[in-house]
Amino acid sequence: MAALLRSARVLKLSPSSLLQVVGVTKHGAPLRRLFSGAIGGRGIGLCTSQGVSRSVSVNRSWSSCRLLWPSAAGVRRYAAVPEQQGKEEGSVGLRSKQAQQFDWALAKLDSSVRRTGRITKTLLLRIFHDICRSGYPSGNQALLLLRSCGSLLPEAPFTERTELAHRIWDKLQELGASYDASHYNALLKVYLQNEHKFSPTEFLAKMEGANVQPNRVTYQRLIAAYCQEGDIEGASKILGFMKGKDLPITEAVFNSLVTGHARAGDMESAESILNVMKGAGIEPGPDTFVALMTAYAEKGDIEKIKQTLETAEGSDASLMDRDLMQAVFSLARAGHAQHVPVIVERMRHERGYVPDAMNLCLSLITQGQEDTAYTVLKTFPRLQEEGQSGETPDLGNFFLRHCINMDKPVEKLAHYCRDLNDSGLHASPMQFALYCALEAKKTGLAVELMKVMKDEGLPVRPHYFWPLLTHHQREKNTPVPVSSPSFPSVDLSTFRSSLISGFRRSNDVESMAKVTELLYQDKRFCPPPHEPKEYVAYFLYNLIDGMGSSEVQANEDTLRKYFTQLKSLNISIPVTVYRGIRNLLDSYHVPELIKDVIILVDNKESVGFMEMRVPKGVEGKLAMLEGRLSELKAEGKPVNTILKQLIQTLCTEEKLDRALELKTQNEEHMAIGGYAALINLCCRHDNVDEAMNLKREISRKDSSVALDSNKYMTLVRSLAKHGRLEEAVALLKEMKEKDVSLKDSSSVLLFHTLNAAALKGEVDTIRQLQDTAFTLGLAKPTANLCSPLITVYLESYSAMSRIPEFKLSDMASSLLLITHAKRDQVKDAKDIMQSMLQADQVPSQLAITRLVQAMGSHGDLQGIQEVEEKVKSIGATLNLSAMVFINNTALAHIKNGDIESAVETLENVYTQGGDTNRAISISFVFRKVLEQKNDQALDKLAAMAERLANHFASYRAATDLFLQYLDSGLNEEAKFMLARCNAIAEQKDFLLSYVARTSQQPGEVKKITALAEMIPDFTDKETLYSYLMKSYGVDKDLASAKSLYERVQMEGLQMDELFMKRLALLYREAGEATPFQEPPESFKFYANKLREKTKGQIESGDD
Amino acid sequence: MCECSLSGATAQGRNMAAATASKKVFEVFVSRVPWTVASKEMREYFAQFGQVKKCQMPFDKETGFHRGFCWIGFSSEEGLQNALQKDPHVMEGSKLQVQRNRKPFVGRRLGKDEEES
Repeated sequence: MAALLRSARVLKLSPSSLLQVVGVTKHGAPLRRLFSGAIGGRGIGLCTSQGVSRSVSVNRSWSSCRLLWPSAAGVRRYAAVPEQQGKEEGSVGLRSKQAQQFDWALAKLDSSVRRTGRITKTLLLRIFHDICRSGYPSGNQALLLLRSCGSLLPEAPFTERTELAHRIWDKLQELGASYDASHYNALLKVYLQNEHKFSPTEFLAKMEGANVQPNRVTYQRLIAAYCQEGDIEGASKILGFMKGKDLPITEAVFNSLVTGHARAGDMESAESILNVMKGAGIEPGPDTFVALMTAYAEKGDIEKIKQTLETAEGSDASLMDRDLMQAVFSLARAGHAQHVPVIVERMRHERGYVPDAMNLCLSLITQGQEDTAYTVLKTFPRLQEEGQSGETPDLGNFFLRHCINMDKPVEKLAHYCRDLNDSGLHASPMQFALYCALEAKKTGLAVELMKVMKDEGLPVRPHYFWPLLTHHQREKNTPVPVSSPSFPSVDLSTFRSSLISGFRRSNDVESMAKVTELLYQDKRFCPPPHEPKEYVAYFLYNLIDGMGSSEVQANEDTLRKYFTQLKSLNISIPVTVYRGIRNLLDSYHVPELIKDVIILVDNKESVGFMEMRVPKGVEGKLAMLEGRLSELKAEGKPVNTILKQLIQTLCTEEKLDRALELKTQNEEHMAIGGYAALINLCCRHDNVDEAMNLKREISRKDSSVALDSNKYMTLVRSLAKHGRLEEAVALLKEMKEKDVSLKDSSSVLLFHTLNAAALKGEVDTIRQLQDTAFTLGLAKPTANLCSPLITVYLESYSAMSRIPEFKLSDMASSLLLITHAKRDQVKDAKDIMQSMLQADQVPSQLAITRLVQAMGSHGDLQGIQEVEEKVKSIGATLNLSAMVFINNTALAHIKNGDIESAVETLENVYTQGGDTNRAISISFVFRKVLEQKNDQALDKLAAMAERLANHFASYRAATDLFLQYLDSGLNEEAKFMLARCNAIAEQKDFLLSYVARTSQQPGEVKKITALAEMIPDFTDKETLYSYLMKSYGVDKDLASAKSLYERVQMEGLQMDELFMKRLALLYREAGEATPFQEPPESFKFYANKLREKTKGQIESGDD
Repeated sequence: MCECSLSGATAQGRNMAAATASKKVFEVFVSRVPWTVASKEMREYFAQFGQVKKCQMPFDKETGFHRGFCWIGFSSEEGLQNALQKDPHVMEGSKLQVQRNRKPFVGRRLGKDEEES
């Protein structure tokens, strides 16, 4: 801007000097900003000649010049050429002081324009006030301020901008600033940018009156003003003046005429101006095309706009994004927003696109075109916004903030927020919008937004209300949040509780009382059937209840003043609630405060001789509720809510008799919630009769009503406990009928029920309940739910008295078998297997495996053989690996000290089994031997593995051993093994199969990296790295994942989508932006894709 | 002789460690806290690292927003270490900055606008 001022001056003094053209070129963009801005219809009188115009068009991007324009240099130059100011600025001292100040103001405005291409009204006003305070505003300061009142304020509406310009004009004049033509020209410019309607002739008269001579620029702008109104006649009049004074007619004048004819409805003449220009030896410049394009935009003629763009492309004057933005703005304002996407698509996203587009969005929002602004917003490059900080995306903050400042309706805001969120542009737009609303103290909007958030399942927290409360606390005279008509009626309880937490933090008694008064007066807060005084009274009760004893004691004085203040506002409370409050205060040991509450009671006579007994604590609360109940009854008002509250309180206090009595008295008003609480209490008090009575009562009232699953299960448990099995089963059936599903917590209750029965040995109870629950599908036969039966079985079995009469299911038998096997009760396990097979039951694969393993570790060779035969007799249905038997046979040999036989057994697998056996794994044996630290066996097995590898080219055993070393962290041994048997490194499938398994376990990544290091020239690195990434994913280790990705890129590997997807997930989980495009499909999709690809890869189990 | 002096030094070190531990406050200083989070949420979040003894989150009385930082006190060194080992800490999509609180918060007087919870 300093440069701007200087250029303007130079311009005035020597309109055609080469030096000046260079100056304009260098500072072209900021200059243009002040003169025309991004939006305000450029094409209007900036340049003196074609030459200048061209040079500007070269440097038309604002941002491209930013770096070329150090503000300090500008200021220095300005200071160095004071004689060019052509004005007296007072004494030298004063001048230097002014220069200093100007310097400061300049730097501020400059940095704002430089960074963003705009100025905020707040900043401008602050500088204005500062300049005013100094008392001696200079002509240049005035010029600076005036020029800032146009399109540099995209966030302010046009009228506001013009008003501000007038205010500055008048005030500075009053303070002694003297104005010359440049000031009048600046004002004209502001008028044009703000579309301010004025009479050009009057304007000229005003200049004459002030004895200021209009210059060429003045005339140009007056022509533009006429043209803006489509007044060709008026424009011609001024043109006549110019010709009379022999002033050159520049491109800018022609550009204005294009606009003028178009606005007069004469497109033909508008188009013909281009030929007139050519005839006059002036080539149409970019501004000419922008003027033409704007004209078409106002007509909604998208085809012509496209044509114009192409013509411009063909000429020297190709248009920039910023020019296209002008078309977007015009289209939207003229009601042709539907064409905006066509233009937006053509944007080239040149450097500086974002600040320009932001200004466009802001202007559009200010002009009520927020939907178009949103279209533009969505074209913003995403990386730019996600930023280097690696934070979550938050594109559109400026957009949301301005929408809120402009009071856009909440529905629109919610829509934008949802869309920003859905498109992954912003992680928490709704919260940000709320933040802006709170910050701007827009209470109504803030509350509406919170409502939307609540509806969308976003948390609304009490502290969200605090900014509103502090605001109203501070500005005591402005009324209180609740007075806003948009305040919702639904969130009353949230609101009250936040109000209470606000009150507890406050000692501003006056505001508190005012808020309370509003509660009292506003129908929305006191909906019928209750009276306002009751709401207020409960509010007070809850406030005091919430504060608790110590807080009330500490704030006794504040509360006293608050109550007194309430009294002065004629707020009263009913005596019943007063009693509750009194009891609370009494229990808090602040009896003095009671007197201050008494004055609020509406009917004081009833207070004076109240019952002497002062109930405390819960009793107080109960008394309050009971009083309230009887009062409501006496008045014939609905009591359901208070009754339920009372019953629930009694239930919490375990006062069963009193609760039941109350129920009997108020049978007709009882709600389901009350019954449910009572049933629960009865069950807890082991009064199952009463509980069932209540249950029947509910059914009588409404047979369709269902309890929640916990209540059902509590009842079932009580019934089971009392042996009322039929009723318990009936209840389970009812649950099924009424579609009540068993939640986790109620499933636990079922387990406890079964377990209690198990402890008493009630097999029948367990079986019936299990059968019912499982057959109805209420619960799945999980190991947990099956275990009670096994417990009973084991109990009776260990008493080894008699075989129980009941028959276990396949599942239960298998579980039992496994339990025995795990306990090393091999004989018991074997018996169960025997009886299962006799009963035509099929033991599960796991049961057999565990049994055989147990036998192996006991050295029970014969047992293993028997089981193997039996399993063979069952047939192939079990899908059991033959290796279970072989491996455990070998282990049994080892256990029996017969290593030779173990080696022989295993060796035979590979040497005699043919090719099919070559892939069989004996890892399990190695693992066990390693675990047992049986070095003798290990040595022989290792020798065997080497022999198999070196003599028989069978590498499975060696690879298994290598992997087992690796898995046990014996990396040196693994390396040794690898060195002795190089071919291990080539066993890609075996190795990958191990890596695949390992990558699923958290904290195991070390093993994979060790493997990768040991075999640096692994043949299938992509797959290896893919699993490594998976492993990092399991460990949530973004840092390692990042360096893996770097390595992959360095090694030039092409990784699959799953790899990228996993990496992207890690980024996301860490809250960092993904620096690449995340593959769009789901994990499952890519996993399937991969599976298809790698079908046929050998999978192996280790036991 | 050598052994003797070694064990002496160890014992002394242990005593010193014990003395500091008793005075030591296991606090982290958390900044860049998103405005949507209040002390309740902070407590809930940091409880995963160990028992949270206190959470101090100053609110600006003028604006009604918190100031974007808070102190979390754990009841054990372990909680502190667990919290420091995790990186990044992300709450509601924002990355928190968590660092060891070098200056213990003891004896600091609370302003009216600051909440201790």
